[in-house]
Amino acid sequence: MERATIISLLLVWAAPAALLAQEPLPPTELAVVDHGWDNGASIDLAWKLSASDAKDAKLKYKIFTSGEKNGRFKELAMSEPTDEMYEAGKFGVSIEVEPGVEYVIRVKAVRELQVGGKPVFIASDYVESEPLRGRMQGFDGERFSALLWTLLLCGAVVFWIVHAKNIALAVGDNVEKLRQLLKIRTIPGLEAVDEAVGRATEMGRSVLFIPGIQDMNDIQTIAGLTILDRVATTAAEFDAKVEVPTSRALVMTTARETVQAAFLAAGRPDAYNEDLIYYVTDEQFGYVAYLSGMMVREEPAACFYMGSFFAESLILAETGNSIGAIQVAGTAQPAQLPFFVAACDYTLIGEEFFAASAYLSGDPEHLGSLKGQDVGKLMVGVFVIVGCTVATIAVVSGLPVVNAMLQLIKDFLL
Amino acid sequence: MKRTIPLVITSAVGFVLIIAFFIPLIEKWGEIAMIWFDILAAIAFILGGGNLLRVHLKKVSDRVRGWAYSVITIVAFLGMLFIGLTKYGATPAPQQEFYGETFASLSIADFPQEYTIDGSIPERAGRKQLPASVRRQLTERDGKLVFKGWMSTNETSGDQKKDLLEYQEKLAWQATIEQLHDLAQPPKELRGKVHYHADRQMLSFKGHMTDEQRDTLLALYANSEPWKKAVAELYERAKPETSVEVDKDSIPAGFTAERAKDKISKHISFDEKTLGIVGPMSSKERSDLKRQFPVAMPMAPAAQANLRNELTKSVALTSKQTEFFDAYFKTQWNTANLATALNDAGKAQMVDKTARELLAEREEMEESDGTRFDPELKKKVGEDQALNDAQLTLLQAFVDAGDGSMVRIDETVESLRSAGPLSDAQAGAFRAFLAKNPTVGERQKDLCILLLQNGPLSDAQRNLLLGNYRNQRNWESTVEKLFDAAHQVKYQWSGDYRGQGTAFWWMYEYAFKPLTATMFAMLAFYVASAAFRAFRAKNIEAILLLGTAFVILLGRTFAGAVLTDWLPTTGPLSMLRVENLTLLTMMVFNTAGNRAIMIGIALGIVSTSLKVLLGIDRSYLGSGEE
Repeated sequence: MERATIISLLLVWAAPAALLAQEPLPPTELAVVDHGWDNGASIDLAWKLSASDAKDAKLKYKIFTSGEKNGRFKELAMSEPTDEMYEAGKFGVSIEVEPGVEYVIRVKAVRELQVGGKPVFIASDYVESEPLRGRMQGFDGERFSALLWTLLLCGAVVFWIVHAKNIALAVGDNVEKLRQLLKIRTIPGLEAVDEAVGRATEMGRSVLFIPGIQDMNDIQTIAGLTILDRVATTAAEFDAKVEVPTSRALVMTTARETVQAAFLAAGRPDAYNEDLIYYVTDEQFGYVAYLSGMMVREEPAACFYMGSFFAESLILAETGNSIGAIQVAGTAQPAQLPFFVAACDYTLIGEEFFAASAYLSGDPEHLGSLKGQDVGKLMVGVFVIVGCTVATIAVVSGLPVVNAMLQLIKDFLL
Repeated sequence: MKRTIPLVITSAVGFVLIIAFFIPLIEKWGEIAMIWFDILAAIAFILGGGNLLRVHLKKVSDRVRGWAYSVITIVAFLGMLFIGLTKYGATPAPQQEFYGETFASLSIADFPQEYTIDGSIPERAGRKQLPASVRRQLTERDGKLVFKGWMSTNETSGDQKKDLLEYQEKLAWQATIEQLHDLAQPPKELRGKVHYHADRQMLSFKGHMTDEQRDTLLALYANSEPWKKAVAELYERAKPETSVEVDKDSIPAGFTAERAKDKISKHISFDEKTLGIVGPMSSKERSDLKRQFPVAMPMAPAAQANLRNELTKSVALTSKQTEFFDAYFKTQWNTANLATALNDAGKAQMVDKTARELLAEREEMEESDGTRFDPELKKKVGEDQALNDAQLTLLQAFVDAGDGSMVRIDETVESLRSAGPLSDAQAGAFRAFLAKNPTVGERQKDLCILLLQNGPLSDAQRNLLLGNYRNQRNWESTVEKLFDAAHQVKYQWSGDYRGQGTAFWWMYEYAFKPLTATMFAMLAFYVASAAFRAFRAKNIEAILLLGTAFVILLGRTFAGAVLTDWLPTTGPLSMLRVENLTLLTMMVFNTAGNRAIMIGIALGIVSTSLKVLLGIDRSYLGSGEE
């Protein structure tokens, strides 16, 4: 009797352990499809959870890949279902693949046991897919919001360029009238260009123009050179000397073209001196050392810093300040703006710097682009307000509808 | 036309870059456009250099103000150019990925043998080419795969077999490649000694080449002149004897010429004054030569007491030092650890099944009309082999004897072999276990450092503890010198011009870096002067700026935290603590302002880029007019 009791007790204890060690049932209904709107580097897998699996069973699923059916399958990943997947009874995951290469996928349900402190996996039979290739699509769907923004902003700019040209036809050559109609505000830093060059002429000293330390592939350098065009034109008119030391050889050649054309347009091709636009060094502090020395020795009356600047911004601006030069700076490096604001007479902050060429030229195409930019700002402003409002309501109320809206904004607009 | 062409190029490249961002199919076009810019920028360096010389020579010639600086610039420019181009002072780079080998040129076309096997190169979607490592060697001809040269599986010279196996993950293809690999190998007696590096088009030989080996190699393809020339070159290059002087005190106890020839390499020569080798030295020979000092065995309490007594003969250790001295010897390895390592190494290895084996299993399954194929991918090689009692006793005796010399280690391996079965893996594990532990010199050095960290040591105490280690380091340095001297260099100008000790490196380290650092350091003074001007309270805005700056400055110092320490850390008043005010200013006001500027900049960039691409803004090209 006693022996029988012990045996039955042992059986009661052993039964769950034996159940636990049993091979789980395999997952079913494995569906493998190419991930849409991508570069072919991922495929989507979905399968029905194993009948042995439940929230408390916590089975894991191993994914294997091979180049053929009944081939050598290598383990790619192992993951476990989330609560949502348990509710849906389905597992879904994307895996990275080599575009264009054929893959066969196998999935097994595995039960993890601890034997002697080490994990041991008991795997189910497999479920296998048909061969599939990751195909490259014509458009990357993840960049849809970027495309939308690009089209909206570029569309606004192009629309206003066309619109400004129509207005220009009505007002003729009257630039001031055009500016008024388009509501273009005054930018003091740009108004100061003529003042600075004029001062240099009066004092009989040179004008120093520094186009930043980046190459021609930086949009800030291009924006800087468009301002150089205006500075050189004014200097040619006033018969002032413009010196442009550059830290990149390509910038030097481009700046030479710009200045030469400006002198030509001003009717002073003879006054153009190629030697005043020269290459110094690519090295950041070597360039700064040269410029600081040159500024102290030659004491230019006006200094323009227009382009991309880094740690050298304050060294240059302070040196210029110490020699009493009138200084105008413009950059789109937010970290350098405070230094220029502190040490220069006028600073073109961010967008003003890019607006300079349009503002200075007075062409309807250019002024129209400024208006397009404003429309972009308006759109951004609206979305910022909407986004902040929705996010705030979502946090305060916790309503699922608002949260869904917030998610929609995050997914499609950001 | 002068401006139209650049404009067209700019627009075309710009639009390609934009479109490539959205269309994966032409993603590479964008990368190619960027590469072209880099090439252009590289050529512009010549333009820049030429212009620099012209401008400064003109300044010198015209004796303009500051012309002396131009002289310095020209001299520095030309000096650095000369030093950099001639790689002055740079020693030729060694074939460091192939230590212990000599090389001779042999083009793939000149390699005298092709290996053929039935099969074809499979087509791959995405029009992928064969792996680069085999592209020049593997071809398909008349329904057969043709491989020229030997196929490598070496990590350093590129694993061609692995590359081909991964080219298509189908068992039939992989089985063919395995067959081809077995076929395209050097003769058995020279396997592991001679290699063919297809990517470098070089034939290589490991270590010294004997006359017999040369004759075997020559006989392989006796009709091929390029082959004979390459073998003759290898023979000549693997022949020179290199030697270095040896510090007599540093010679490890028990190290003799016979032992070096017997246990390390028969091409090593040694007498009391010099250490030499015929041909190049391999990395294994180097580490074997270096590892000639006795391994620190677990120290018995009596031996520990002896060492302490010797150490405290003249000066006593402090109580803290004594405490650490005792603690140091508490974590020593023991016989059980050693036995476990050997038993682990004796376990049967699980290795991947070959594609041929899997293919055979699959065919078997198909013949038996099966449909499910899920075989084990690994197989067991060999049998588990544990140490027997006699071997365990020998291990215990080895540990108890406390002699970790190389001679004793070799003797113990032999004893273990005679006392029972001992696989090569176990013998290797025995040596590896001991090699992992410090030598006697290293242990005493570690002890010296530990004691110095916890108190002073006299010169005599230091010498006692560091003497062995000093000798070991000298010996290792001698071996390294021999290793370097015996090694074949790539070619005369292969050295790195920026390598430590070169003239370029000296100029860079001791002239360029200090000068640029000086320029950068001046920024600190400029920040102070600019801040002084900017923070003058001239109007309301300036007062606000000054106040904010004051809070931020205080918040970044310890003083700020101390000043408002009396305020509570929680509740509404906690916001007034300076560190919280700083955080608030930076996180909220500063971030908001910055983001506004960033959005403006982004829109400005879009607008400017569009104008440039559409050709509306042409001022950067010189003018808006043609």
